[in-house]
Amino acid sequence: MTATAPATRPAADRDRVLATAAARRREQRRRTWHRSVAKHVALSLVALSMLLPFAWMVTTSLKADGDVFAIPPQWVPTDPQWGHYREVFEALPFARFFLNTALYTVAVMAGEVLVSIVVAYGFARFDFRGKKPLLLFLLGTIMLPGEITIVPGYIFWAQVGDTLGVQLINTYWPLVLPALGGQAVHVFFLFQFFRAIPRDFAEAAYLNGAGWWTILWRVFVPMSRPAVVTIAVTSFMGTWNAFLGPLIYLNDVEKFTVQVGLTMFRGQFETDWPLLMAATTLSVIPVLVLFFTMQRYFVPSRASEAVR
Amino acid sequence: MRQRLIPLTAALALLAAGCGTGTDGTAADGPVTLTVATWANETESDELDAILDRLNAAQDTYHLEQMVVPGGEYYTKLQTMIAGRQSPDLFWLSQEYVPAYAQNGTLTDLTGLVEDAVDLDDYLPGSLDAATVDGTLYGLPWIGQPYVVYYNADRFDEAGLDEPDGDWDWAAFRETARALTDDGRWGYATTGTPPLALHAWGEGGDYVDAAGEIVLDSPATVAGLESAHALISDPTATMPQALAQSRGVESAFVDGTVAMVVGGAADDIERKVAEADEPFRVGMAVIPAGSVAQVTFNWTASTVLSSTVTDTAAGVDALTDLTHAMFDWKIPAPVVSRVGDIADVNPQKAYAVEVVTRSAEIARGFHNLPQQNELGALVWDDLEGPLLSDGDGRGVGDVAELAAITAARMRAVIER
Amino acid sequence: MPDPEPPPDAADRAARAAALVAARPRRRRISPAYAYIAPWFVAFAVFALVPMVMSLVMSLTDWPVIGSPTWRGLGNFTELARDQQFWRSLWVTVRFGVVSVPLGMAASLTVAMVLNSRVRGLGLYRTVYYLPAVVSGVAVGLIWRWVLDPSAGLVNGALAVVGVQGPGWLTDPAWVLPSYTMVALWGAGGGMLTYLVALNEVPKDLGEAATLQGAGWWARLWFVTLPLMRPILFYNLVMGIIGAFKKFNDAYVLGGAGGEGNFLMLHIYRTAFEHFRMGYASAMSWVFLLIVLAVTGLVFRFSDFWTFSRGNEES
Repeated sequence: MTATAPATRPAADRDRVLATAAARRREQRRRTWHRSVAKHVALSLVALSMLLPFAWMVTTSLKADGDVFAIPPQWVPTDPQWGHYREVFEALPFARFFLNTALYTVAVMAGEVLVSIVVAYGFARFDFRGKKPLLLFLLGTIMLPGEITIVPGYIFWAQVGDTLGVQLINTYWPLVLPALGGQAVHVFFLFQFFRAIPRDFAEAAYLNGAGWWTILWRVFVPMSRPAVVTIAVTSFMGTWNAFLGPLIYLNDVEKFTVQVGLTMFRGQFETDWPLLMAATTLSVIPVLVLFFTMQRYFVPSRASEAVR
Repeated sequence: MRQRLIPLTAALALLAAGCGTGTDGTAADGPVTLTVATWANETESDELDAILDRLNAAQDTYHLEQMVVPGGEYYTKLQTMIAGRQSPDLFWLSQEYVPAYAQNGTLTDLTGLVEDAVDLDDYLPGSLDAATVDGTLYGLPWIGQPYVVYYNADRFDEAGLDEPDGDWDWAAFRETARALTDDGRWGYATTGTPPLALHAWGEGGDYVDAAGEIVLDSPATVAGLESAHALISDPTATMPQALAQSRGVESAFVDGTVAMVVGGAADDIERKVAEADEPFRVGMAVIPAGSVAQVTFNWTASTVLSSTVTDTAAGVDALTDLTHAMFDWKIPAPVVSRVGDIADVNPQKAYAVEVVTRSAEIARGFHNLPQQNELGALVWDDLEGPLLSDGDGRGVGDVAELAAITAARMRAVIER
Repeated sequence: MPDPEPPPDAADRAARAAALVAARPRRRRISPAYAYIAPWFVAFAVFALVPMVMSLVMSLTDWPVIGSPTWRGLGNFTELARDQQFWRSLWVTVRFGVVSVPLGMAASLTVAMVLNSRVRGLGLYRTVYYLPAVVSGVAVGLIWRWVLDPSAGLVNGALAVVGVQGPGWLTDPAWVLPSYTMVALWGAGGGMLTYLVALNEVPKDLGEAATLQGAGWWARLWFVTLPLMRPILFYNLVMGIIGAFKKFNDAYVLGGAGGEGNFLMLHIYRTAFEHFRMGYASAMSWVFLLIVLAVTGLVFRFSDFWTFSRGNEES
């Protein structure tokens, strides 16, 4: 941005040019500054509307029982009950729930992400007989509502257990094993990225002696790292927040996940709002931490400041 | 892979044929292990576990284990387990579910099996009816409480009114509510408690009669619904519906905004009022009478025995012992001899024993049909919801016509 | 990309090139693709096929979940054709989808584009905008019940400040769908993730080249950025449509007056578990599947899904 004037120009002319350049620079800086302030104000206002309901959740977790539905609503609890966060762990084995959920989530995430990568690669990289119908079939299964196959699914697992003479109900197997097939949604998503990678890259690598398998992990995956991270985050969140499956398949309280445990604060007649909200707040933290640390994979990098 | 598919296909065939394996209990000698499914919350399940431990230690016929199903999704899980032939051996069932479960053969017929251990005559009639389908007993109610009117006695003093003695009808109730309404305060508030059917019962009507016929559009029922609608949509007596929904009827009573509300006799209202910023004296009265009868509603849940339990004798022992043990628990037991216990469980209820006893005698439940949930949802969507909100402030037109349309839809459901 | 193996000699290269050529047009050999896509299909056959077939069979029966099924043939489907409640709830769902899918996509894309620049505190902003997607299930419903409460809620409280009397969001049938649209928009930050990834792939030079040629912001967006993001826009459109049809969680907790909150999935769920009509509910879900298939099929038909990355197509 340095303004260099041709040496041949007269001195006064050069000074004038330099002065205008400096003024323009100042003007530009002022304008960028204004724009950035405006941007921050707008961003913060929207962020506030995103945060308010969440803030209500957190303050409710600190309220005494009687103040939960006070009118007008209390934004800052008069006497914050930090003890509720300890009570969550005393009332129910929540530490156990967190451990269960963490293991379950990591297992499912690993399966879904790794296998989805492989399947998406198969669809994106190769042309083969039946590609179109097979892909459409895979997409079609996303549309089948899970709420309605839950009962046949349960019957299936119960009968498989009976037939094989092993206990499958009240275990994590029915929840984890299907992840070995990947996840159709993630396959679809990765497919959209993998197919955009120029085939020349892959074919050049193939000519250089790399096998298709190597090309997947050495070319496709590194080139789509943000997309892979995205499905990892999505898969983590989906599993961490899964409710109906764990509820149906797990019977013993010690085996419960966090989401199922949460609903134990809702009784038939009375809900322990502060404890429910404290536990919900705690349950959100792992996903937030994961998302925050995964940030760096979405940082506008080399390529992407095209539209601002 | 292929090998594994064969048993799977077999499983499918098995299901379609509707035959099952029914593997419950233990083959070896010793106590039969029985699972009891409950919707207890975190504190209740601990208390119940202690009760089960005591029962298990006292005999060696059965060993009870609790399976807690978290609140809201209780029936989804229960029904899925039954479909998968993993039914719990004993489970709690709210009154509206009993007929459907009985009709589908999932419950053990208890008639003639429990009379030796449990005094059925001691049950409040309304409670036992809720566990009985076509004269057959399918469960033992363990909780039941009549609905009563709670009132703010200080507000009655303030307005110069006599406190209600229970000999009143809905017209008198509405007059009282009007006298208790002033700027920003109301005499009455409801969001559906008590069920509107209660007004119909008072006029001698019903939604479904004892024979299972839909009588929602009978003149007596319509008269009851009209009087309920008039009361609820009267802004000089009753808090507007939208406000009542957001304030919560109970909290509006506790903070003094509403002077009279209807609730379960065992509700913990006295304690909440005592702990409020401005405590007042709480009174309790019997539900007002209609022009034909004075009736109140009784919410009941039972413990039932699954039909998949092979050792019925042990199951019945466990069921009866558990029912007796739960009568000693903190809950309002649905038996005549225990109605007075309400004061022992909660000393703040001591003032109300007489009103609770009278209410228990006139309490009843719905005549439930196997399609009860569907009918209940239909009545709520088409009739009760609009009546309560006065068509969201736009009026509901002719109540009789609304009832006739709803009744026709109910009949269509039953005849399907 | 580089391989640790020793560089292949010329003969090997030639052989591989030949294999590549041979493998392509004639498809003589079994494509290696089958091995790659096999895991999903195997898992589907083992874990999902039987339950799916079971539900198809059950759609031909009267099955009260807790009892034995009785054969009904096509009775469920003929009943369905005349079932006003089913079509009513389909209509509710479609109306919600038509409004909320485009709005939601636009909102997510806007958020992603704004948060794809170097703003101070970027990570924090993104996390906050993502927050609504993280809070799940019961909590979302409970939070929104409070936000939308007619007299004590956040929205009507804010409206009261500017002197507007807010409506009964979930209690007035006319405002139920707008309420759900609002909830959907609140969660739009969750959709930002996929757009962020796609924006990362848009080469900066292209935008700059366009700027140099005098293209304004809108022109750059319309002619450069969006065309390059077609795959991800398509993905989000399809997933948005499916998501709108399958709307369940918040509707389950929030409800809505006058049947306006009775989304199709909720109706199916209630029919199955509360009305003890699992057979009929299965029939509904298969019809539901056909409807969603038809709608997404149309989207595929009128998009260039199969050809848009033409450089990679073989013909």
